[in-house]
Amino acid sequence: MLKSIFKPGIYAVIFSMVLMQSCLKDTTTKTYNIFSPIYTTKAAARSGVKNEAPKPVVSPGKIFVLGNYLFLNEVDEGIHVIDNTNPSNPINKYFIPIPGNVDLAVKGNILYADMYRDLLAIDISNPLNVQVKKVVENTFPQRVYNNGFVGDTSLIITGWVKKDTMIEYHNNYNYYAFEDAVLLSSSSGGNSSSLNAPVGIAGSMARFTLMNNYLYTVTNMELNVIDITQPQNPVFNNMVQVGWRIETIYPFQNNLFIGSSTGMFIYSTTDPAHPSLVSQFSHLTACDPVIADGNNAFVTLRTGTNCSVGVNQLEILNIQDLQSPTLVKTYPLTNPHGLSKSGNYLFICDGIAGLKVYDATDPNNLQLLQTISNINAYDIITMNNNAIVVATDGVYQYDYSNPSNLVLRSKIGL
Amino acid sequence: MKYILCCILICQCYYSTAQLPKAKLVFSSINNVGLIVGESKNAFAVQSKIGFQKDRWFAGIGSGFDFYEKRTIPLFITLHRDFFYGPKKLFVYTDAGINFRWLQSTDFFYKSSTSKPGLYYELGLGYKVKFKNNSAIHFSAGYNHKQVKEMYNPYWYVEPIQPVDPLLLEKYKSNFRRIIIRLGLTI
Repeated sequence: MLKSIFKPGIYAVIFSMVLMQSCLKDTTTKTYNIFSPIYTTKAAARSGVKNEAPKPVVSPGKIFVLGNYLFLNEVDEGIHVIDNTNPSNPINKYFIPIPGNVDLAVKGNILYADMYRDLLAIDISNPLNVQVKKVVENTFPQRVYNNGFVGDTSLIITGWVKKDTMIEYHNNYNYYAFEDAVLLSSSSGGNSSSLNAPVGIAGSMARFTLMNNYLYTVTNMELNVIDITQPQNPVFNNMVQVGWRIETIYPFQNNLFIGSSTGMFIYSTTDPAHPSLVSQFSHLTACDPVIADGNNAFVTLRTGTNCSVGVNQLEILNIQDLQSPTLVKTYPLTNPHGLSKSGNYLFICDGIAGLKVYDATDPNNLQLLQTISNINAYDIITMNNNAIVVATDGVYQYDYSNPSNLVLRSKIGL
Repeated sequence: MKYILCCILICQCYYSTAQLPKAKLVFSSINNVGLIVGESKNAFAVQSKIGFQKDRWFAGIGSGFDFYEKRTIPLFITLHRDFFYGPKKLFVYTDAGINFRWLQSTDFFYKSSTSKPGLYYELGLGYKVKFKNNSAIHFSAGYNHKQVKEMYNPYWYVEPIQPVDPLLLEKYKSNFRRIIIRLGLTI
């Protein structure tokens, strides 16, 4: 029986394999863009940091609110200054070109912004005459471009020339290997607090925060302490080693909540020049912005992009004992990014799943009130019943006086 | 070779329409395991087809797992045609459909990844031996083509804020042309 099956079968296979050998072929076509950097001198880039005519918002990054003004980062290009006196009709006032900028904070009339590795203190008291007051060099030494394009001591990258490219590989191309191709990602970060009147508020994705006459910034591994007692003259004071893959910083009371891809750190600023570690809470490897209120810290964990293998969820921690934060509950989400809390209401930017609003009166039993699903949201600031949401296609503002029924007030951007 | 197999299938279909004894429409399933022989490696596949058999024809739909290079799940329509009556017979078959990428956790390491369905088809020749209860054991070899379409964002450095920039997406279209040797059961 078996012989009757396999004998002709084996003939068929041998026949097929001989005949088809030339047909066996694995090919992969890769389509991508090559970017070549455009360099300029640091001196020329610094002299170019001044007020310019308003520009359309194309690639919105981090956002900072001070009084009636929104400061919106245009990723790697500069900062839009927007008059938001009427959230239903924000007016794009002017643009400050800052190559390599991704983070910002504002105190009084001084705007702090990164320009690749350097920190700039920019006087914005006169919108018609914005001036760089001081440059603190090499504050962010890890700020690099992928693909080996690293700004040296005299040149920085101000733009890129794009070229479409298609390559065909014979055999299967290894997607996972790092390549000599062209990656345009950069790193850095931003946030802030609201302790003193002239200090603004940043989103939870920020890497800058202001507290006690100090500007705190986080890099990939460190917490930088910059003295801004004289706002126009920031002085690098101290650096604290925190850990690995630090991502965000959030101020609450006299503590700094630092999110990293492996956990949350709480630093005390009782001695503001020398923040000290209070405690840490470890979690799975994932990107994780964090915010806090009096009793709880809210941490969103997400996968994707560079966050390695992780989870997509909200973790609520009990921080009544700051020395020993404990997990209260986790809630599954789609791809959570920034978050904000206003009273008992928790707002979560859940990536492609949109903006979600929860009643967080009971951390053990969050109630979803509304989902705005037509935006790809990644950071949010809530204040005065106005939710300012940064999405991939612009900045949306919603009236949340009824948290179950957010009303769109305006959109800035594409 | 794939064109030769196509010609055999078409000719056989034409030839066979001349004389057909009346036969009932019978629900049937074909389940097999396969060895994939490709240019760069060998791999394993499993497949199941369900459909209706009438006379020397079988038509239906199928799916399975294909572990060659990129783990995928094909979904296809299938057509089989026996050459002769009797317990032992040659048959030709063709499958055509689409191929879904089944992403693994390693696909997300350092890079975000998405995929789109790609083309999938197979043409082959087999030999089967029927049992009394109308089930059969079969052995086949065929030419198989699967296409995988994937998009990656090559960010790898820590950057928590920026959305994926469509300008940076790398698009990959892979075509894998293989031989598949299958052994299975028709029930």
